[in-house]
Amino acid sequence: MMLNLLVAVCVGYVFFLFGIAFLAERAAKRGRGRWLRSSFVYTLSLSVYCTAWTFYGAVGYAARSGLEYLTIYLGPSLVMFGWWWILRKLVRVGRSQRVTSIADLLSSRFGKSNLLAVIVTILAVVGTTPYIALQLQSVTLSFDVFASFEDTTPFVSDQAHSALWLAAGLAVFTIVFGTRNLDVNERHHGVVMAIAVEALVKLFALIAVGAFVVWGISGGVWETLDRIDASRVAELPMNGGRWTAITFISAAAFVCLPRMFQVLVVENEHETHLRTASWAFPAYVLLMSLFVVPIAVIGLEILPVGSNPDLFVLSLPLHVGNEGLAILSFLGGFSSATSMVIVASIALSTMVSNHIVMPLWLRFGAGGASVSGDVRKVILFSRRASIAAVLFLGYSYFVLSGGGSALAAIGLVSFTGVVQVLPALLGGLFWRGATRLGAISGVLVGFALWLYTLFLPSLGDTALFSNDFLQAGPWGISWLRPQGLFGLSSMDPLVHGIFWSLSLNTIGFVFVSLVTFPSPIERLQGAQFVNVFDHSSSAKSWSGRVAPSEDLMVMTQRILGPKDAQALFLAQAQKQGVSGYLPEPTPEFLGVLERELAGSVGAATAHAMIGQIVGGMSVSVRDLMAVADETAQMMEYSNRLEAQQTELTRTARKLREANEKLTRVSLQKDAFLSQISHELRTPMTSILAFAEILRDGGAGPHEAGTRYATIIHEESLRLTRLLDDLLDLSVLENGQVNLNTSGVHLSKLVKRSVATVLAGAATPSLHVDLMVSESLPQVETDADRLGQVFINLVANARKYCDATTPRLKIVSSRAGNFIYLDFIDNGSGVPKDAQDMIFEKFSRIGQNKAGGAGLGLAICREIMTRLGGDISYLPGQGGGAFRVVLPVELAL
Amino acid sequence: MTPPKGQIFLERSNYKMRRIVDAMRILPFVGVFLWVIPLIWGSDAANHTTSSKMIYIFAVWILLVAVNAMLSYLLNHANGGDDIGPDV
Repeated sequence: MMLNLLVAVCVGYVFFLFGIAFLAERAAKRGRGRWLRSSFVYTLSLSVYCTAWTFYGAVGYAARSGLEYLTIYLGPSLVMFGWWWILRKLVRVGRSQRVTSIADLLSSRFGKSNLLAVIVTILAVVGTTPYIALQLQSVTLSFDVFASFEDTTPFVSDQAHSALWLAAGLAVFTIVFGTRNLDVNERHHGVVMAIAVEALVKLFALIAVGAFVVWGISGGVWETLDRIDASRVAELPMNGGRWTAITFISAAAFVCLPRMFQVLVVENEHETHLRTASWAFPAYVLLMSLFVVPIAVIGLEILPVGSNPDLFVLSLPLHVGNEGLAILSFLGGFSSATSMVIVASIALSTMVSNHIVMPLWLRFGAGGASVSGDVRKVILFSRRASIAAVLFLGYSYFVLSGGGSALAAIGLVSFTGVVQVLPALLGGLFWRGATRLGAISGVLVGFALWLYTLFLPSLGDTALFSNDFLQAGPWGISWLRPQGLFGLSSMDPLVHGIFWSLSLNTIGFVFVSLVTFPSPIERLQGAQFVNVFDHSSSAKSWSGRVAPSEDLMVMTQRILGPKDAQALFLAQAQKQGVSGYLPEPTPEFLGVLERELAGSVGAATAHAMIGQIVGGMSVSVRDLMAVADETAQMMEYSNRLEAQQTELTRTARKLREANEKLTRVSLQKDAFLSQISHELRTPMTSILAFAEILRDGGAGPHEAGTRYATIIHEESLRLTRLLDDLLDLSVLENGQVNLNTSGVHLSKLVKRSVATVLAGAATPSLHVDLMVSESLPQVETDADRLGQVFINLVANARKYCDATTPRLKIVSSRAGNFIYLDFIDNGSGVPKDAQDMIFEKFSRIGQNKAGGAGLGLAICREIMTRLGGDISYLPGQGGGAFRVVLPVELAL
Repeated sequence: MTPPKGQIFLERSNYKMRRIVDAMRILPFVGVFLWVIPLIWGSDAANHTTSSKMIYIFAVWILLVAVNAMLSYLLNHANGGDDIGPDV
């Protein structure tokens, strides 16, 4: 009857929690949930520290060890009082680095080392799994208490069965509210709200039971105090060593436990919340612990001997028949258990999924690692699977360990395990010299010693750690005994384990840090962490709904251009039903915007830019590295494009040049053809005309006939000469000419040439001054061809020199390996605008003294080129002047 | 943000704020000191009963909470407490 009621209450309570979480999520989504994230909600959410182990177990602890249970609360209170030292820095670092878990924090401090993250994750899973089992056990035990007070056999008496149902229900809740969406900052409004409500429920329940015990059973405050002093609790001594060690370990665990890190740092909305929590949370745990001793003392007094003191909170109200209070108390314990399991599994699943599953998936999974929508789906799936796996692990542990008293002892052992990250954490926050290898070795040493001295012995008499083994040590070596390392056997086993694991952990961490050298990214991150207050602004709200839309607009316009940016914002605003250009910065809109921007500037850059504006977070080194990678890729790509572009430009220029050349050649050919036909036609015309006269016999007297025949003959000679010249030029141009080289005396050759030209004329019409040095060396060259050039030049001077007494001066000179021969006459020379044309075919200057076909100089130039020399017009010599350049040695 | 290095004299409000922060920093050490005292009493059960130890511990606790709450209040009303700069 009552158990059915209990189950109904349980189910109703769970639905109530679902409702709370759902409403909180909805309010947060609409941006109205400011009150949801007040500093008091933050403080209450910190109460996941108080699990079922403290809700039920503290009373049992007090019954067994007196006031020592207080240390579990004093440690965290001291940490909160000293928030300015550690928590403030931790929260600031967590915010500026967008940390998602304690493994993530350590890995990003020590140069993004995923190995360290994996080690911390494994440590956290090993340390937390028994703790989750403990929560399942406490709930099933509390069911049993109700069953034992009822005579009927309850349907939930099978412990494993009810624990399975509980684990499954918690998995569903956690998956629904813990992985509904992927928040950049890993914050879960619904879950936090539900946890805060549960905090109130458990506090209220414990105070109600306490007040009932003090005023209802005991009869007042003073009577209760007297009973305390009279009870056997008062006879229990205070062990200073344990007192100090447990205070320390619980203070450290308050920071290092994955679930505490989740609510303290990851879910933190605003740094000022920490300020309120610094006094409100100690006040909360004060109230939680206030009635523990009275309940323990009265329970020992009035409950039958042999009752489990761990369940006094439940059995006391049941014993005196107050069933309503018992159900309230049950709800308190249930709240404690569920809130711990939910937050712990969220924290653990984040770590497992981010540091173990995703790296494996990205390495072995399908396709590349480009972040897109489908990767988000994979992340969500791996989160959900991890939650289920973590809870299943807890359940398995519960079933395998048999749920006995061995489990109850695991609380502090579990704390000590998780605390092994403390040296690396504090070192990372305050010491720039801390290195990755140091952190890894410290954590590994601590982890190993914790397993050896605390965890494995706590499992009881097992095959690996039998009682004999504990007594005698491995291979009978007594100083290696798990609970008496190096002869410290008189210590309390817990203090012994804490002492050795943490001290050797710290020594290993510091020593290895001192002797190793950190990588550049480690040193950068180290500086960012240790000096976080120097370069991060404080007090900006994380939710940042203040009005970043306009900033986003300004930024987007810069990247996409005003037109596209405005169109995008307008469309999004319309989609949201907002008028104007500024949509609400909802996650959907930010997602769209990020994708748009990523198309232009790369995914990492877009993410960092939007994060900067919306999240108010500083850009981490990881972001910068990603941005640099992207930029490098883009630069490489654009460099490649540029190279291609240069090559294309070069090719185009070559093509253009080739085209121009072809056009010019074609023009030249046209000009040549028309020129040649003209040149052939002129003599042809006169030959035809006089030949016709002769044929028709109209020549008249004989001498006239002879004259006509002479004309015909002369014109034919002229034609032949023209054709010879053309043939000559064509042979030279095609390079088919054979040169007969021999040693040539230039002065002799020049004299001969001049003599040849002047021989034909009756009176010498040209006076030639030969100023060619006799001492010129012999030149290896083709004498006939060179002579042709000289003859041409002298003949030109004779024909074209327009001075009244024409004179030609031939001067030789030598410069290096070249010999210059200058042919200078005293005429008017070649007009300036014709100077670059005279070496072209058929170029003749003016129409005076018609003679050659205009091929002479063209042939000269071809010959000189063949002979390895050159011929050019020499301006500024007071007349027509040509310079012939000859190499001393003919290079063919 | 951080006051420029070498600044020797602060404004009165800034100065006050820094002393509030100093008090906050000292507080956990005060707590450790006061909570260690019951350990020194030892198991001298006649003079120091368990209930008196309990009352003492809770009294210290309440005192620390009250002082911390007061300091937080002062800090909130001084300047938002954001301009204090890095830990020195």
